[in-house]
Amino acid sequence: MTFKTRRTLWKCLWTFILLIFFVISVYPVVWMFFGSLKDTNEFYTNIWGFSTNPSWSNYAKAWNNAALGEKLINNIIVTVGSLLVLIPVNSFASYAIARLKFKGKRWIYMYLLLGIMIPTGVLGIPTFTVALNMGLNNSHLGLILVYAAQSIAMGVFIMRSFFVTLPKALEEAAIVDGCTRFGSFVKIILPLAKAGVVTQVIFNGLTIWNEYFMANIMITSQHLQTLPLAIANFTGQHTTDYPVLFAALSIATLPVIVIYVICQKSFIEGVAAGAVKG
Amino acid sequence: MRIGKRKIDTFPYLMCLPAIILFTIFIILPFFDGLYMSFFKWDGFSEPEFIGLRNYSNSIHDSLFWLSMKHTFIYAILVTVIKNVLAFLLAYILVRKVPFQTLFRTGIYLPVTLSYVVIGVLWSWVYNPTFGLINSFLTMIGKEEWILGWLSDPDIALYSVVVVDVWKWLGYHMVLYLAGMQAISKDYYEAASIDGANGFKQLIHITIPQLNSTIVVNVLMSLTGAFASNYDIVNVMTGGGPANSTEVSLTYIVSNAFRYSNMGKANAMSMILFAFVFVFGFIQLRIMSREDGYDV
Amino acid sequence: MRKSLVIAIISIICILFASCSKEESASTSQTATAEKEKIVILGPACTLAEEQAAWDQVIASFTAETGIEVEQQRQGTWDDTLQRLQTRRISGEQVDLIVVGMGTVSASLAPAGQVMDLTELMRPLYDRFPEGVLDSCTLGGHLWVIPYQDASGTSCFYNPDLFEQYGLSVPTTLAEWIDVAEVFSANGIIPFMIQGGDNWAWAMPFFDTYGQATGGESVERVEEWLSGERSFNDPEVYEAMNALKALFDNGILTSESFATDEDAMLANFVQGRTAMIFGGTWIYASLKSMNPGFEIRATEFPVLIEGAEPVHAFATGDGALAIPSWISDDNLENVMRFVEYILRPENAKAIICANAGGNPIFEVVNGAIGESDVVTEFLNEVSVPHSVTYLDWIWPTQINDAICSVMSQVVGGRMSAEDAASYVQDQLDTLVSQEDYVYAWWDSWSEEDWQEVTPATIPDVTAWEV
Repeated sequence: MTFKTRRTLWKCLWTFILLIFFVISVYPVVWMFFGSLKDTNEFYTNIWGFSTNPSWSNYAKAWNNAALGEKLINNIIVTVGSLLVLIPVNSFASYAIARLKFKGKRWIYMYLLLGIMIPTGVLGIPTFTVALNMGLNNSHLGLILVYAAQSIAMGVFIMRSFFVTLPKALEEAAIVDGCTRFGSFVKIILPLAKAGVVTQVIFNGLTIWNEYFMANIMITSQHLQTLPLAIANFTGQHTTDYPVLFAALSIATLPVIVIYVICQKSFIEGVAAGAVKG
Repeated sequence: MRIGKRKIDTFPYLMCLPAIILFTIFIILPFFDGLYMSFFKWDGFSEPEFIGLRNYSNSIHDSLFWLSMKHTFIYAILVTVIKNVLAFLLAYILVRKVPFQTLFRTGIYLPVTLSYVVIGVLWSWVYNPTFGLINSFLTMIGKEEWILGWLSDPDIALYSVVVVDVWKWLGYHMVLYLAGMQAISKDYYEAASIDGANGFKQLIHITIPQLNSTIVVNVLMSLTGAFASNYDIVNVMTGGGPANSTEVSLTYIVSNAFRYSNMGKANAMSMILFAFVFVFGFIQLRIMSREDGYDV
Repeated sequence: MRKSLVIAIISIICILFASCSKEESASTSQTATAEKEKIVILGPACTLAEEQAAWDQVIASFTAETGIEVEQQRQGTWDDTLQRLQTRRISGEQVDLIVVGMGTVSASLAPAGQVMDLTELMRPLYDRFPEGVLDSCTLGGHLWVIPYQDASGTSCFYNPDLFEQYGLSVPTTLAEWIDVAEVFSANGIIPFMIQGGDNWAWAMPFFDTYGQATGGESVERVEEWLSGERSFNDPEVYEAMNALKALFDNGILTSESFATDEDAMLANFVQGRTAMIFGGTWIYASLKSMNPGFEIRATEFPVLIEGAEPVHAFATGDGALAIPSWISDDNLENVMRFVEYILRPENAKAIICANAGGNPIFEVVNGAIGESDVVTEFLNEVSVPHSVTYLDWIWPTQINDAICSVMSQVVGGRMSAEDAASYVQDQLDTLVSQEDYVYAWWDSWSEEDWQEVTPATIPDVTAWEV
C-alpha cells in the first residue's frame, strides 16, 4: 500500500467517524424543529419523521401565549449584562493570579476555586436570601450579579490557564513601549487571551441563556421574566403541549446557534492569532 | 527577602477585588448560610429548630445517600474519561484539513445548545422499547439479542444516562481541545517531522504535553460538572429511577430539600458532598497543574 | 492613571448595589400601602392560554364589581411552587391565595402550619360543592384547600377498535385478561401498558390492588400503619404486590412498560401499538386532544384478587386553592370575597372548564361541568363509587418514593413482596426515629399551633352572595 492510498484511507475513516458524530449531534436539533411543525396527533404518531403537513401555527401560539418577544428582550438583557460583568471581573482576577507576583495570591486563587466545588443549585434559597437583603430580588441586576458570581470560579480557572501560556516577557515589552500595567493588560495581554474570553462567552452565555432555577426564585414580576420562565408555561401539571413547547424552544435556541457560529469563526482566528511562539 | 519600608503594591489586589467581592457575597455567604442551616431541623417554612449534628448523623446513616454518592462517583469517572477521550480524538481529527471542517465543528457543538426538556423527551424516546431508534436499529441489523432495558434495567440505566451526558457536552470539550491544538506552534511538528517522528510519536511527545493546561481545564470541568451540576440531565432522563439506580447525590439532595421538605438534611448532605469534591478537586489540581511554569 | 480605571470599575459595582437597594426598598413600601385593596395569587403558570384568559376575565369583572385589584403571580411549573412560596415567606411579600395540589398541602404545607384552616371560613360556601367533593381536601377533620380544578382518579382506557377486530371482550378478571393478552401478543400488539418510566407512577396500580386486597379499606389500613398500629409486612400488602407481579408473569404487563413514561404510553396508545393502558384520568383529555376521532373507552382496572371488588383511587383537590396562614387579617375579607366570587357557578365553569381543555370529567364545583360523553359517564357512574382517596396524599413523600422504587422491582421479579414490604417499613421506621414523623400531626398540635392557622374573624360571606 502506498503512502498516498493509506492517507486516503485514513481520510475516509476520519470523515466517516465525523459523519456519525455529526448526524447524532445535528439530528436532535432538526428533530426539535420538525416537532415544532407538527400537530399534537402527528407529534405522537409520526415520531421520527418530517411533518407531513408542516404548519407554523405553533410558533404563533408560542409567541403570543407566552409573550416571547418581551421575554426574549429580557433574556438578552440578562445574558449580555452578565457577560459584561463577568468577563472583566474574571479577566482582571485571573490576570493578576496568572502573571503578577503578590502576597496571598495562592490563597486568593484557592479561595475562588472553591466555587467549582460548591453545588450552587442546592443553595438557591440562601442565595435568594442574600439578594433579598441587598434589595436585589425581582430585578435583572440581581440575576446578573448572581450569574456573574457563579461563573467566577470556572472563569478565573479557564482564563488563568490561557494567561499562563503566554510568554513571560510580554509585560516587560509593553512597559518599554510606555504603557502602564493596566494599559498593557488591556491592550496587549487581553487580546492574546481572546480565546479564553470567547470560551467564557460561549459557555457562560449559554448557561445563563437557559438558566431557570435561580430566575424562577428571584423574579416575581411578569414583565421581568426571562425566556426559560416563559417556556416553562408549556409544561403543565399533567400534560405538556410538546409541539408548542418545541416551537418556543426553537425560538430560544436559534440565537444561541447563530452566536456560536459567529463566535466559532472569531474563536478559531483568535486562537491562531494568539498562537505566539513560546 | 526585603520587607523594609517598601510600599505594598495594590495593583494585583485591586484586580482581584471585584471577583472576590462578588464571589464572597453570592457564593460564600449562601454557602455559610447552608452550612449554618445544616445544624437545624427546618422544613423551609416554620421556625428552624437547632438539632446539632443530627442531620449529619442521619445523612451518614442513610444508605440511599451513600448509594447516590457511589453512583455520583461512577458517573463522574465515566463521564470524565469518555468525554475527554472522545473530544480529544474529534478535535485531533478536526484540527487538520478535512472536508466540511466548519460544518462538522458547528454540528457537533449543537447538542450543547439544546435545552434539557428537549433532551429528556428525545433521549427517552430514542431509548424507548417500542418505537425507539436504538431498538429499531438493532432489529434492522438483526441483533435483537443486544436489545436491553436501556432505561428500565437498574443495572444499565446509569450508563444510558452517562451516554446522554457525554453526548450533550462532547461538542463543548471538543471546541476547547480544538482551541488548544490550534495554539500549538507548527514549528514543533515541523522539527519533529525532520527528526523522523511519525504521527503517533508527535501526538505523545508534542500534542499532549503542549495541551497540558487544556486537559486540566477539561478534566476539571467534566469532573466537577458531574459532581456539582448533573441534576438536570438525570432529572429529565430518569428522575433517579428505576429503583434508585440512577439516583446521584444532587437528585437525592434536591429531593430532600424540596420534595421531603427537609432543608436541614439536604444542607448537611450538600456539605458532605462538598467535602468530597473539595478533596478530589484539589488532589486533581495539584497532580495536574504542578508544571505550568507559574507558581500557584 | 490606569489604576484609577480599576478603582472606577469597583466603584461602579458598588454604586449599582447601592442604587438598586434604594430603588427596591421604595417599591416595597409602595406595595405595603396598596396592600389593603389588592389580592395576590401565587401559582404555577397556566398551560392553556384559554385558562389564563378565563382567569383574566373573571378577575376583571370581580375588580369592576368590588374595586379590589387581583395580581396573578403565575410562573413556572407545579413542582416549583413550593420554592417560590418559600421565597415569599422569607421576603415577607404579600401572598393571599396559593394555587397548589392537596398532595403538597397534606405532605408539607399543612403540617408545617403554613396554610389556613378553612373549615369555618368556608362553611357558608359548602353548598357550592357537590356532595362529598370536599372529603379528600380534609385532613384530621379540617378543610385545608378549596378544590378548583377537575378531579382525577385511576382508570384503564382501551382501544375498542382493537378489541372488536380480534373479537375480544374487555377483561374484568385476571383469568379473562390472560386470554385476551395471549391473543393480542400473538398479533404483535402490546396487551397492556402502564407508565413505568415515570417513577411516581408505580404507586398508582398499587392503589387499586391494595384496595382490592383490603376490600376497599386501604385508606384505613394505611392510616393504622402510619400510626404504628400495624406493620407494612402484612399479607394484604404482599397480596396486592403479587397481584401486579402476576400481570407481568402472565404476559399481560410486558417489559415495555418499565421504560415507558406517560408521553410514550400515550404515543403507543394512539399509534394502536397497545390495546389498553392504565393511568390518571387526566390522560383522557390528552388523548382526545391528540386525535379527536380516535375511539377511546374507559374500563375498570380488572379484579386481580380472587373474590375482591374493583377499587380505584379518586380525589378532588389535585389542583386547588389554599390561603397562607401568614396572610394579613385585614385582607382576609377581600380574599374570601374573591373566593366567593370565583365559586359562583358561571365563574367556576369558565375557569375550570378552560383548565380542562373544555370538558372536565367530574363536577368539582357546582355548575363547573361541560358536556359528558360515554367515557366521562362511565368514570362518574361506575368508577367513582368504587373509589377511595389517593394513598400518596396520606403517606409521606419519602414512603411514596420507597413504594414506587420497590414496586418496579417486585413486578420485574427482582425482589420479593416480603423484602419490598420490609424495605418500606424500614423507611417509615427511619422517618419516625430520625425526623420525629407523626401521622396524626393534627392531634399533637398545641392550642397556639391551631391559633396560628385559625382566622381571627370569619368574614360574612353570605353578604356578597347574589
